[in-house]
Amino acid sequence: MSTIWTLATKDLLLLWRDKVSLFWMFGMPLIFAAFFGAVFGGGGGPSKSNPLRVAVIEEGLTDGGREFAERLDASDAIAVEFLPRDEARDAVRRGRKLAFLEIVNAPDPELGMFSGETPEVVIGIDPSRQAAKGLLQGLVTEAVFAGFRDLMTSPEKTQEQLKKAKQRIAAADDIGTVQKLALTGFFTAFETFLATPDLTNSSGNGGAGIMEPQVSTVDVARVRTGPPNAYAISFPQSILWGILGAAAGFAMALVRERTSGTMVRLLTAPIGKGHLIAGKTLACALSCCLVAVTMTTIGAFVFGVTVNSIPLFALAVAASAVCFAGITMLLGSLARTEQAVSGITWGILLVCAMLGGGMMPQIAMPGWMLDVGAVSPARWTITALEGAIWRGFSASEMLMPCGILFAIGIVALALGTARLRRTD
Amino acid sequence: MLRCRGLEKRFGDLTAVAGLDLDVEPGETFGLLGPNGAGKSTTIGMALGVTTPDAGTVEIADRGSPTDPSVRRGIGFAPQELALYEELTALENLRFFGQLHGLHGRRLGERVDWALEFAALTDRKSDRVDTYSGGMKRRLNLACAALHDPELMLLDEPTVGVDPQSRNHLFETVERLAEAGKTIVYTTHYMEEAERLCRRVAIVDHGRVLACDTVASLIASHGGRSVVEAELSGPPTGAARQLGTILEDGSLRFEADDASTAVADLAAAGVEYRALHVRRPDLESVFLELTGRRLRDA
Ligand SMILES: Nc1ncnc2c1ncn2[C@@H]1O[C@H](COP(=O)(O)OP(=O)(O)O)[C@@H](O)[C@H]1O
Ligand SMILES: [Mg+2]
Repeated sequence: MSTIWTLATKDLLLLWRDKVSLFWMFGMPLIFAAFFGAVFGGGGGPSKSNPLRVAVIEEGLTDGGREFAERLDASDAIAVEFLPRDEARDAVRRGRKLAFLEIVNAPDPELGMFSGETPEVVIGIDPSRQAAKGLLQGLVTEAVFAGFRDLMTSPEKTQEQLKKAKQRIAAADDIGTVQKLALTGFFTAFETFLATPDLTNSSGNGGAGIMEPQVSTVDVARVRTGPPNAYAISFPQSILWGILGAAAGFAMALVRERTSGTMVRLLTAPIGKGHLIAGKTLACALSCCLVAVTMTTIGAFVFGVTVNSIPLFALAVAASAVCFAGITMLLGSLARTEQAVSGITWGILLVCAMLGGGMMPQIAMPGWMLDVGAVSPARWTITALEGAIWRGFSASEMLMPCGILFAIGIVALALGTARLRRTD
Repeated sequence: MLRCRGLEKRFGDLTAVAGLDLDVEPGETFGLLGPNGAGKSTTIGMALGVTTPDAGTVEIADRGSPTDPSVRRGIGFAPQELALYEELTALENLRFFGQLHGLHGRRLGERVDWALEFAALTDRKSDRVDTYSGGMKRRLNLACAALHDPELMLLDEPTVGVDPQSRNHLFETVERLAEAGKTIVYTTHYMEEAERLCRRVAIVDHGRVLACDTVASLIASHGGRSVVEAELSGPPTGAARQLGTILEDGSLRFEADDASTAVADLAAAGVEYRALHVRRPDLESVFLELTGRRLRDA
């Protein structure tokens, strides 16, 4: 173990002396984070081409609820997808959906507002998205009222509903006789009221007085600290860039070790090849961690990006470090010259980064792009980091991105090790 | 100390080492002399266990094969290509390689100080290697090999590309190591280095040992006779022409066993001369005799 540590600290010392690599690891990502954080500080409103994407929870959805959701969908500003509860929540947490809607006690279209229940819509949204939240609340409330307006502006339909309601009350055996009488009386009075000729001219707002619709929101992120600003998006991205910088730097260092002849000295030292590979991998993983911790510290103290869960953040960083250290060993084993490694490494890493949300934030990616990005370790790095920093992932939610990262890292390391053992 | 049997190594179509046997005795400085491309470095690589031979075996005295890391603990290696971290200082390089060879604590400090003194770099120990001259780097490269006090040292062309002064310093350090009882395998294509430093020399060409013996015996058996050039006092006589060949400048060249037989030969022929140059055979002559080529342009 001390041999591996000796090898790793030597590599870290070399890295410290290599100002170009340091710039790619720390300087460039910091500039990136600060710049894009500032640029995306504001946000545009929803439009037909860029609607607010919401998920409506399928479970317990009544016909009335579905009708209501479809009414929402008809608006250009909102795009609705029906999803099971877990998927909907998940989609919101991962930023694929802005929010989910749970439509509880939606008016039965047959009974309308006389179903005897208060219409209630629960909006599940990330607490950080204040502006979007307000907008969505407004749109949903408007849609609820629009439903009432329909009822009030088409008295025939309402009267039909009243008649049905009265029949149900009469048939019900769980309501006392006195109550039955009272309700029937009330409905009859209301029927009379609806029959009033000038009602059709009124705005229908009166409905709100009868039955107040409830639009409430729940925070989807379990822990309440959401991303305080756009830097919460740009800092995880910058950590990714820093890690990519470290990976590229170490892949180069591995080749330089061979071209500069020092590899021969290492190979002739009384240590096994496994030590060599482990030392390099450790140094690379440690630098990835160093990047993540440094960027996060700067993010916290300078840009107000707080980490939601430190243990989960540590897990995300460890998984990303293992993943990219493994990839580094594989890339470093692929080519013999520094130019070749530099080309291959940056080529592969840039594609990974683009697909994975290193440039365009995942939250802004269209669905297909997120799906394609699933092949990129960068995608899972950002998901894991965001999950720990501001999405409020639970430990079990971290399992998937972190598990994938660990798996990619171990497979790449195994392949790289096999190649390195064979070639030298 | 080091025993190689039937070593072979091919790189594609090229046979770098073609059935090579070596026996290096404990405590001797053994020369591996041959032109560039003879297969010296490849042989050293196999002796170190980093190059896998296509055939043959390597054994380090009583320890076994150098492919076993613990066997390598007793070997010090100075590669032909400098193998130093240029961005690190001499001190950092030495500490790192010392730790890799299992040194630590006080012993590490002592050995590093020794190595810095050995390489005459104590004053520059905290400067980065990329600020050093070629000679300084060579000295440090050698010091790294001696750092962990190994019994067997494999020095692959340790003087390549250095100025005469550094070269002299390197010779002295190799002699110091030899005096300290190290077994040294010294590869070179400079025959004067082998003559000065080595007790026994193997002459290698095309991956084969052509001859292996002490320098004196090699010269005696393969070096031929001394070449004598006599600057004649007058125009060449018939007797002089009979003794040897007359060169363009009018001097007489002939072969003799040594200087005294040359003088006797001249006296017997009655040739008068002003000056006599006797060039004794050397390893260069041995190589010429064995291969028909000169070492330098082979
Ligand atoms: N890794 C290699 N790949 C291909 N050819 C090699 C390799 N190493 C050495 N050679 C070839 O093997 C021959 C012997 O090389 P080497 O052992 O370095 O000779 P020397 O050290 O005596 O100059 C040379 O022709 C060289 O080009
Ligand atoms: Mg060589």
